[in-house]
This record gives sequence, C-alpha cells and structure tokens, in this order.
Amino acid sequence: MESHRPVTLLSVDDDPLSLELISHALEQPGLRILTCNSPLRALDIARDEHPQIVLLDLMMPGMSGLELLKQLVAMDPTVDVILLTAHYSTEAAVEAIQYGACDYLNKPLQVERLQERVGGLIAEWRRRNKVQRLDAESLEANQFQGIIGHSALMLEVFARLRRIGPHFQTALITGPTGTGKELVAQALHRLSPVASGPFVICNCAAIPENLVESELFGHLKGSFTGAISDKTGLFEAAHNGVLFLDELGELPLAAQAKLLRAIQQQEIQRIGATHVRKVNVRIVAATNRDLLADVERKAFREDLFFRLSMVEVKLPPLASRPDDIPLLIRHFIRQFSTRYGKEFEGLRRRAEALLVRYHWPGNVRDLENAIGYACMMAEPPWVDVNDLPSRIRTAEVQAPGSDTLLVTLDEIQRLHAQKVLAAVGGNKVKAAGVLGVSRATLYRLLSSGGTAASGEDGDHEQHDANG
Amino acid sequence: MLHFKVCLIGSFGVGKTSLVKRFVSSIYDDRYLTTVGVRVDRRELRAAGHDVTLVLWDLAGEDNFTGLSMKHLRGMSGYILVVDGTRRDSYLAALRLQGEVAAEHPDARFVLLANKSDLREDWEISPIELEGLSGEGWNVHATSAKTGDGVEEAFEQLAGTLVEAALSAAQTA
Ligand SMILES: Nc1nc2c(ncn2[C@@H]2O[C@H](COP(=O)(O)OP(=O)(O)OP(=O)(O)O)[C@@H](O)[C@H]2O)c(=O)[nH]1
Ligand SMILES: Nc1ncnc2c1ncn2[C@@H]1O[C@H](COP(=O)(O)OP(=O)(O)O)[C@@H](O)[C@H]1O
Ligand SMILES: [Mg+2]
Ligand SMILES: [Mg+2]
Repeated sequence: MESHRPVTLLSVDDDPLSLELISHALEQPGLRILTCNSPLRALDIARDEHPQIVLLDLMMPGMSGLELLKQLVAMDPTVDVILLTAHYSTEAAVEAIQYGACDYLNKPLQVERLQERVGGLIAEWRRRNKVQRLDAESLEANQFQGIIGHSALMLEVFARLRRIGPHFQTALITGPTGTGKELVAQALHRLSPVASGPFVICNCAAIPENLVESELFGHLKGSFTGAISDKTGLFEAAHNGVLFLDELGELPLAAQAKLLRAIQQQEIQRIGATHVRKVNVRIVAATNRDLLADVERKAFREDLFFRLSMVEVKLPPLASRPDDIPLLIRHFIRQFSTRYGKEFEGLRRRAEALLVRYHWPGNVRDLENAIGYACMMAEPPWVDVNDLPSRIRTAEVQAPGSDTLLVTLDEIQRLHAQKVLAAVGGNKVKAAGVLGVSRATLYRLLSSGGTAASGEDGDHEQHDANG
Repeated sequence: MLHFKVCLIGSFGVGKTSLVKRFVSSIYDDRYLTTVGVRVDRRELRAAGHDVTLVLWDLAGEDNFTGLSMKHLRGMSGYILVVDGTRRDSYLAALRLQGEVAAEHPDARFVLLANKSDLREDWEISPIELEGLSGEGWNVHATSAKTGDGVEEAFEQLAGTLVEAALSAAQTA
C-alpha cells in the first residue's frame, strides 16, 4: 500500500564509524537506510535508488561535499540534503544552503538533533504522500457525474439530479454564467433512460434569428431563399435522446411558440412541409437570465416558462459555496498538469486563501481559466500568488484611479470590510462576525481612508473621526 | 534629503509587515494578514548625520524568488532580510534568498533581522549561528515587532550604511 512506501535515506561519509553511528541512530520502521563511503559511488546510488533524504559529509577525499551536493540537487531538485560539517563554519553553512542543502549539522553529531531533523523530514515526506492520496480520494468521493462539489448547496443539487434524472421530460437549469449548467445537462442525459441515445446541443444565442426555426425543426429544399437542400432539424437529430437548449432566454418569441408545441405534442413540422413528424425528445433548457422577469416584460412566453420550470435545477454562484473552491482547484490543477505536461502539487496556502476569498463573477469557468493561466505561468511543483492573473491578485485593492500595487494594508482592509458589509446586506453585526472583529473595529475599518461609514443605525459605539 | 528604496525580504509570516508598521507608525497587531503583492511605506529619519527617507517595499513572503518578485527589487539601495527566530526554515530560506538577491544586486546593502525576539525560548536558531554570520561581515539584529525591541536600531543602522555607501559613491564619481 502507498502509505507504507518506505522513505529512503542515503548517508555519505568517508568515515565508517560515522556511517555506523548514523544507521544506528536513525534505524526505524518505514525508513530504508543506505550508506556509502565514496562520493563518486554516491551519485550512482542516488541515481538508482532515488533517496528522498541524503546526509552528506562536507569533507571527503575525491570530491568535496559541496560539489556532490550540487550534483545531487541538479539530478533531483526535490531531494532533501543535510550537510554534516566537522566544525562549524558559517561560510560553509551559508554556501551549502545556497547550493540547495535543506540544513546542516555539526560533528560530532548529537544523536538527538540528528533524529529530530531527519524525523521532521520523514514526517514531511509521509505527509506529502498522504495529501496526494487524500486528494485523489476526495476528488472521487466529492463529485457527482463529473460535477465537483461537497458544499451543502451542491449536495442538494446532486440529490435533485439523482431524483429527476430517470423521469424528466423537460428540465430547466438556471444559474449565473459559468456555474456548470452544461455539465448538469450532460449529467441529466447520462442519468436518463435515453442515456444511450443522442445528446444534441443547441446554443440558442449563437443562431441568427431568421435561422432558428430551420435549425430546430429543419426545412425542405426551396422553402425559403437559401434552402438549397432538405435539412434535418435538431429535434429530429435528438430523436430518442436529449436536446439541450442552451441560453434558452435568447430564443425569439416566434420560435418559442413552436418549441412549446413541439414539446407538448412531441411532433415537429419542417419548414415548407405539409405533414408533421413524431419525435421522442427530452428537453433540457438552460439560461442565466431571470426568465420570470422576461415573462413579465413579455420577452418570454409565459406558457413555455411554466411548462419548463416545472422541473427546475438552480445552480448556486461559486462565491456562495467557498468550500467547493479548494476541491475545484485540485481538480483543475490536475487537469492542467496533464494538459501542459507539468507536474504540479497544488497551490501555496496563501494563493489558495486568495482564491477562496475572491468573488468569482464568472464562477467556475472563471476559476478554471485562472488555474489554467497560473499553470501556464508557474514553475512546478507549486502555484503561488504571483502566478495568478493580476485581476484576482489585486481584486481587493481595486480603488478607482489608484495604482493597485501601491496601496496600504489599511486601504485593503477598508475595501474588504466594505465588500463584506455589502455581502451581508449592510448588517454590521453580521459583517463584524464574518470579519472576526468587534463592531467598533469594523467602524474604524470602514471610516479609515476618508470615506466615513454613513447612515448610522443608532448604535452607541463610537467610531473614529477621520483624519 | 537622501532617498533610498529598501525591500523587506523573507519567508511568509516572519513579520515583515509588522516590522514596517512598528517602524513607521509604532503600531503592532497580532492578526496575520498575508501581504499580497507589494505595500509601500516611507519614513524619514536622521542617519549618519543626514536626513534620509527610507521608502520601504514590503513584499509578499517568498522562500525563493520567481522572476516576478525580482522585478520589485529593481532600483533598491538596500534590503532587509527577515527571519522568524522560531522557524528554522525561515532562517535557511533567508540564507538562500541572500544568495539569489546578492547575485542580482551585488551593490545593495542589507541587514538580517532575527525577528520575534520576544519568543526567544522558542527559537530554532542558535546564537552561535547568528554570531557566525556577524563574523562573516553580515549585519545581524535581533528584533521584536511586538515589543519594538531592536527595530529602530536595525533600520537606523541600515540607513547609516546606505548614507555612507551613497557618499563614497559620490566621491569616487
Ligand atoms: N510574537 C511576535 N509575533 C510577531 C512579531 N512580528 C510579527 N509577528 C506576528 O507574526 C504574524 C505574521 O506577521 P506579518 O508581519 O504579517 O508577516 P509577513 O512577513 O509580512 O508575512 P507575509 O506578508 O505573508 O509575507 C502576525 O500574526 C504577527 O502578529 C514579533 O516580533 N513577535
Ligand atoms: N461543479 C463543477 N465541477 C467541475 N467543473 C465544473 C463545475 N462547474 C463548472 N465546471 C466547469 O466550468 C466550465 C463552465 O461550465 P459550464 O457548464 O459551461 O457553465 P455554464 O453553462 O453554466 O455557463 C466548464 O469547463 C465546466 O466543465
Ligand atoms: Mg453554458
Ligand atoms: Mg506581509
């Protein structure tokens, strides 16, 4: 099993007594110890055995420890090398670190310190190993039909899809752009009894208005200018399967009437044809518009809206489910690692924290693009804050007209406080709770930088005067 | 008035932002808000008999420099390497960073601050190691952004070094 994969340590020293002491001191289950008394042979062993940890004596005949250190690190940049120096020399220590050693110890070796340092490294290697495994497990466990998520909001969505999937004739997926509506449509197809039938996508926004009906229902040759041959419509193409009408809100009113008829009667009429054809098509429609508002201003047919909204799946914006963000990050990191042939372990913690806090106006698609960009920019194995697109890095300091880099921490705090306050609908008690500060501090944050919090709500707490 | 750009460099969480805050406005805050990008502050002081403005660039913590952060260092006269005394990794990272930065900015002067001296019982670097660095010609100070111990002296010493360097450069020119 992976968790028992031993950590390998290579100890290189020309003094056999020293090697014996080290082997003895470090002997423990799960640690494979190799020893070697010649620097030249050490390189061969390292190449063959891939030790994660190397203990290296600085003074050896043949090749200096520093030279060997350089070569070991060049061969495997992830190796942890601890340099052992006979007497403490700051210069050598500094040099060793700058050549890539992870630490140095003085001889005579203090067994306890040696055990402590090596123990720390072993624990670190085990942890990395485990994190990788947990990642894999958690991605498998926290997805449904390829849709990633484990927030309460998404679990609700999954439960709904599971219930709807086998039975729906029509379904409406709503949610802001980039929340995964197309993924959900595909999931519904896979869960439906017609999973082996076609899944046909029609992007209603992408078809010119005068061609919509011909696209959906087909036409006969000569039925209008440009109809140079018979054409099968998407409805017929989706026979015994699912037709996905993306961006349904963009469908012209005239086509809406025909769509409703097609759904209700399960029959269509090609343009120019005199007879109707029977079809068996399940409809999944998606929109990021507020269709009800469109109904009210007569831009969308009420009867079609009610027919479709009988079965509705609402996708929540990404910012409302920050717990999903780390999972999605891992998913996309993996995806882009493969795509770009770069091996990333993940994001540095503060880069991840930044992404979790971001407001994601473009939702998951936006996050996907950000990770894609970062994976392109970053040097493996880690993605850090500086690799992220600048609009995300500087999101919290976007004061109009200010140079976003040259902004004080106070300014960032004030803007963040304002954002949180807006997000909780102006409730200062809630905002203070979210920010983890007292209300008095919140007032101070809001009033710093000249824009005093206006419209007091009768609180007794004092807030600082400006200036 | 002499102006110097000075960058604060070191691993994350070692106290760069706190040190600047302490030096510029005598404030200390226990909360940790990681720095994103760069934050620039300034303070005027007298050093080596001259009025000096230090323009302090507080960078996001790094264990090593990517091209991007290197860019922020452009035009600096000096830098402050900050180490969290309670974290050996931050000390080793500073030794590494010093190599990287000195290679690109051989003329820049620097001081090393071993910060969080108020937590000295928990330190993971030994006095011998710090003394060794002093012996090699490094300027090393123990500081606490929390209590203010050593902070003023450290910044002042760097400012003094920068003044001297600037004056001797002017003379030879
Ligand atoms: N006890 C103690 N804590 C300190 C001291 N200096 C900073 N801290 C704390 O250490 C944490 C990190 O401090 P920051 O000043 O934000 O560190 P930084 O180096 O700017 O971190 P990044 O911006 O992430 O690179 C905060 O919780 C500080 O309150 C100190 O001298 N003593
Ligand atoms: N929950 C999710 N898990 C994994 N990928 C997702 C998720 N939500 C969205 N995506 C990805 O984000 C992108 C945008 O999703 P999409 O379904 O096209 O959004 P919409 O149709 O709502 O605008 C796609 O690449 C999709 O694979
Ligand atoms: Mg879409
Ligand atoms: Mg900081």
